Amino acid sequence: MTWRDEWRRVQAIVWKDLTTERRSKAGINAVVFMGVLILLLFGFALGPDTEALRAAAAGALWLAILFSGVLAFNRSYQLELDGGALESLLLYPGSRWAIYVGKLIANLVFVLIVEAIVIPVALVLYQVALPPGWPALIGVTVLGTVGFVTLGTFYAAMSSRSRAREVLLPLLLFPMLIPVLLSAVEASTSLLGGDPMLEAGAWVRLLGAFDIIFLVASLLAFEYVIEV
Amino acid sequence: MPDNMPFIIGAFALTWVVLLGYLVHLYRARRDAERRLQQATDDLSGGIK
Amino acid sequence: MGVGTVELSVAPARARRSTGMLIGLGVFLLLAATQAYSISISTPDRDMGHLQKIMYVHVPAAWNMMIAYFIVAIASLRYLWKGREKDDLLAAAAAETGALMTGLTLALGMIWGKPTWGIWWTWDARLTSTAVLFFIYVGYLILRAFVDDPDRRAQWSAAVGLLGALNVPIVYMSVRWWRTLHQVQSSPSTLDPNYTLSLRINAIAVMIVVLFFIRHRYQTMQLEAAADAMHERIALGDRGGINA
Repeated sequence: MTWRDEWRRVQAIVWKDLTTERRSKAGINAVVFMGVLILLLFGFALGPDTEALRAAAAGALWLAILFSGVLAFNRSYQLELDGGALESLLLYPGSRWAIYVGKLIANLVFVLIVEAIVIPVALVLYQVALPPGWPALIGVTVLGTVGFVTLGTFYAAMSSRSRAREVLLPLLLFPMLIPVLLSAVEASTSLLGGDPMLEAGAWVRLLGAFDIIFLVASLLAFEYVIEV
Repeated sequence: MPDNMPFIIGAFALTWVVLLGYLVHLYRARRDAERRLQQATDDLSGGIK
Repeated sequence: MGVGTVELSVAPARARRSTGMLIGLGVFLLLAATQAYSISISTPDRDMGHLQKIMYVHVPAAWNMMIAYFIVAIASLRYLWKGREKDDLLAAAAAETGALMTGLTLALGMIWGKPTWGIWWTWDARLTSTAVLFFIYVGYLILRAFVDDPDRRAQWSAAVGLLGALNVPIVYMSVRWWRTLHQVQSSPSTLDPNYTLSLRINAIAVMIVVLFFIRHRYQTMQLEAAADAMHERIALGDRGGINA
């Protein structure tokens, strides 16, 4: 019974956050625009050489996702704080982890929508042809995004309530995300090249392990972080 | 074998500069903390004693 | 609130500082002695020549940085478990010393790498993951600097410290898969026995320095916390009345 209650709380928070985003649309537009802008900047930085761009495509794409997505996490708590809603949210009965899972899922949907627009743009800008095994690429993207959003939602619960939150979140988050960045970029690059060395599997397993470890750790630690 | 003396001296010098520099920083922080604690103690007793 | 969990007065603190100064002097004399001894007895290495001597500062710094981070993880866990302010301060003190030793390890590694490999920096597993570790714990210290409320700071930094410690093996593995060209880890078994003893006594001397730093910083943080708690009581209007 209680599990079903918690799940309904999670659903309510997801619904609330996504409705807020849908009604304003300002957040998602800004983040998508930022992602595309970073892709464009990488294009200029790396030069017009098609081969070089193609080789760097996966890395540039993932950095664009990280740099633009990080803008969304503070926002997710900032909206609550502005209205004094976080206290009310904490006063409702039920477990604290339900708040975390709710925000996690809402942020995940948000970032996945951003990716659905930014990734096709990257494919066009960097002239990357999709390999036959492209569904595996979607799997890698989702796994990488889960790891990114798991830690992003967790750290933003702190950074959004501290001084200098705009600086603090990337400083805390990006060093922690290096395994995600490495494995997502390596897996995507090798899949884009047709995975000739069959090395993508190991990276995908590492991504999966990272996601599970930090999902569990964040769930356990979130209570300590949100209650003060 | 090229002369690597500058690197060796540099490594040991750097170690000592870093360790002693941190030591100085530690003593300064300690002195400030003691001064603040003294001040707080004085303020708290507020001359009533 | 953290008020009243740390009760200290100034006079004993002063006395402890004098003792601390004496201990500090002894600690650094010991380090100087072990270094002088190691340098005087070590013969030039077959491959590296006199460069091998950098090992006596680089390897102890690297080992002791791990000890400092181990203390951070244990103290953070203990803080979340028992909720005592002291554990939080210990974790913070160890993180500061750990970050210092990590920075030193990286710099010494570069100084050693330039004449050995001909490059200051290489993207190999241990070098890169040490750099990541450095950034994780500098982030921890920056978080502490940006949060004022002691309870909040303690809870948050304990969580960040633990997650950071959890990530260390994952970072290491991922970077290792990504690229490896570092030589096999220096352990006593791969070393000339001539160097083993020197390496060990230097590691112990640096460990004593590190423990001295942590202890000293920990005591200072307790004094700071006590002063903050007193200022808070003053601000709340408590002037040492009945409830003091």
